[in-house]
Amino acid sequence: MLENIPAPILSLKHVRKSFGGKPAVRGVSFEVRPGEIVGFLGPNGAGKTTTLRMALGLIVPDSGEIKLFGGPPGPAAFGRIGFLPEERGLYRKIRARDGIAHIASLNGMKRKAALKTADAMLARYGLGDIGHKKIKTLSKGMAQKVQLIAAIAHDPEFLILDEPFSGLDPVNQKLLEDMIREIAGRGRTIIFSTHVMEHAERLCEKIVLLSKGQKIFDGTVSEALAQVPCRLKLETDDKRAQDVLAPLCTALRHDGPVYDLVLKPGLAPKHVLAAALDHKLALKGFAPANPGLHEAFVTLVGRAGVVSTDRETKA
Amino acid sequence: MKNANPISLRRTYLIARRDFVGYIKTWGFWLTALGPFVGILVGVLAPFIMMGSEPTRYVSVLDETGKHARALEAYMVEENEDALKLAMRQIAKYTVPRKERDHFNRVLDEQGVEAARALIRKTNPTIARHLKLPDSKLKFVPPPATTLEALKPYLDGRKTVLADGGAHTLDGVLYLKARPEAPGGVEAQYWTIHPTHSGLLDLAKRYFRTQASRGFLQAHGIDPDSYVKARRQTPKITTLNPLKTARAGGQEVTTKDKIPYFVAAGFSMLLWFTVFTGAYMLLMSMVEEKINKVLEMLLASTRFSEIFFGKLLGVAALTLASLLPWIALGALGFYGASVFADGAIVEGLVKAMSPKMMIFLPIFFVLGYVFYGSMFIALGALAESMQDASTLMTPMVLILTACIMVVPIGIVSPDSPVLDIASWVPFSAPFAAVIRLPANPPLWQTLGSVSSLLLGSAFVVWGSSRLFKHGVLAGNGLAAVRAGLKSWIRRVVLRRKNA
Repeated sequence: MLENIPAPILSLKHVRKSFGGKPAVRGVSFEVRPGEIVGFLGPNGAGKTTTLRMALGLIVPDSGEIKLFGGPPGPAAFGRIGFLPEERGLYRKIRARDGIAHIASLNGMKRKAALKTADAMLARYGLGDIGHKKIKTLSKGMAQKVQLIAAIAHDPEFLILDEPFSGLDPVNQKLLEDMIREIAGRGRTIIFSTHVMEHAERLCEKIVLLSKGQKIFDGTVSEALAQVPCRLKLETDDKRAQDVLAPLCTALRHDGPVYDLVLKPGLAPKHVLAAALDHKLALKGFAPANPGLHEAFVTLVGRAGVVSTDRETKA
Repeated sequence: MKNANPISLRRTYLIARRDFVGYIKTWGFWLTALGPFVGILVGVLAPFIMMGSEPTRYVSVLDETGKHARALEAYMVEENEDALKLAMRQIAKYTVPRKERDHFNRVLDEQGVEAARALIRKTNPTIARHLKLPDSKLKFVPPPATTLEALKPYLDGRKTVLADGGAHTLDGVLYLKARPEAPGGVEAQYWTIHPTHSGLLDLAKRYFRTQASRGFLQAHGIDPDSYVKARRQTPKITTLNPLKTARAGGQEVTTKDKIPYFVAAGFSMLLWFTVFTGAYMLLMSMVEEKINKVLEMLLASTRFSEIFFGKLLGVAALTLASLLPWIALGALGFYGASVFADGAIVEGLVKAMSPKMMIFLPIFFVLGYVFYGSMFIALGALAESMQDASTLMTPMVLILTACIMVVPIGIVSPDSPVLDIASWVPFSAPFAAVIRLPANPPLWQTLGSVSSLLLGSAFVVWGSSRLFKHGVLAGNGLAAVRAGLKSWIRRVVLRRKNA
């Protein structure tokens, strides 16, 4: 059975990195397998960028092991990866098509082919008319798209996107999401970092959650959501409701006839419904709440009890 | 990160090409490149423009002595002719063939401007046609009144004089009154409402000074013209060099022997200028790419060393391109000198380009550029902003400024111990060693300078590439280096002490 699992494109094992004695990444391990879209989530300062830089070989970890395409990250992977840094990473005074072609050429494409590809991709993503404009004249959204095109023009196998949605308005965020979906649709592997959980919820099959340099979750989105206790709202005028519902909840609040429930782990709304029917409570409303990744993150951080101090325990 | 794979020449070329093309398309580059031509054009045209834009000043001399008014006018004509002669002598350097130059100068001195112009006309009729005395901007008009009080309304515009077909106010009036007890027997007043218009005043000062000299000489029984001739009869002092052999053009020290020192100084300055310009461009390019996060994007597909050497190459090509106009001007000057200049100058220039100079100059150029360029790349990588870059650059500018001091020392005293030491120190070696070359230092010393610079460059490239990696990737440049240094001291130095 194991032979059927493809080898990971990226693998991190117990990776640590400190800057000037301050730990930035603390024993992080995870894998990215071919064809996956992995969301690398965490609040600002969680260590996402440092981890991605280490994954690219831009920073050497203090300890732990990183493998990119089965080997150490670095020159061997040149041309096989596309990277979008957190902030704009293109020459400001260069024309959009030249900027794209330059990065594509560095990734192994011939200059003429790179220019041709740049024009074709700009046209495909609705930017055909800005090819000859200088980057500095473009809006942030356009520049971000040009930069993403620069990262993918050489059709890399693995795409590393650091905060691709940062600073974009909702319309451009949606356009960028579509671009990422389209790339993934071609079978490419993607890892992208973000501190906005909604993007990951919409785009990813798998997520890695990071907080204060530590990994607190690594799995599918549904697995993450399953970690969140179930919540629901229930409305009834029956005075017995409090006694019936209390044994099922970890938290119960009510405002008149409306009850707000946080269910005990392992219990689902159907169990509440069954209990209500058993006790013949006359229900006027029953609305289970769908938990989001944000709640999952809060729950997982609370459960992991991530060390809040910056001082790292020596391994 | 250790990797045994060789540097990709293609990626290095692409980085170099990007830097070269990126800068060559900017206005700044073309302004720098065309600067010499614009400067020369402005320098040549400015006097003509200034002369053309200056209005004619109408002046009068109210001479109660009756001796000076005409003499003053004649003095002005004489001065203008001298100026024209000087201009013709200069122009002749570029229009009259060298072998006819002495004859031309003799004709100019003995037969005057017109005869000399005829000689120029033979070789260059266009220039000869334009060689004429420009109209004087100072015009004397007879005083329209006989008293100073009556003349004052002509100065402040209440009254005008008719001259050159128009009515004009007087720009100034020189009032000369006989007064035996005054120096020269004259009391002179200059009346004007324009304090900054001093054409007539300056002319009068020069005139009276000449008059005083001539008067003094005549009072002592000396003919002023004979005195001027006598001054020319001074003994000629010949400088001789015992190291020169009689066969190779005699032992006399001529212009030819001095030129190599000036040429070497020029090369030294050119190298300094190249280093300064190139290194500054490298620093700015690094800072810009770091601030724009371009480097991060590049590093995902390019090695550190490829970016490092690509930048060095790209900016070297760029610096060379920006120097092309200077090189072209130099070549033009060399050609001009070979056609028109004194034969000794041509021989001197040829002597300056000795085999030693031809071999070692490119070596010092390349090594000097690599030495400083690498340092500036590292500084650029450490900077987080333009302010950081300026701060980091200050000590380097001071070092470079100190190094250029070897040039004047090299011209005056090429055997100075300061120069000797400077040629061994990698910072100053490229400039000092080049300027020492005409003095023929022992070969081992020149090779020593090359070795010192080679070792220094290797060390700087090694150290700079480490700083470059650290500065670019640590994210917070200088602060990271400081933190790293502290950590290193804590780990290595203090632990060792404790042990």
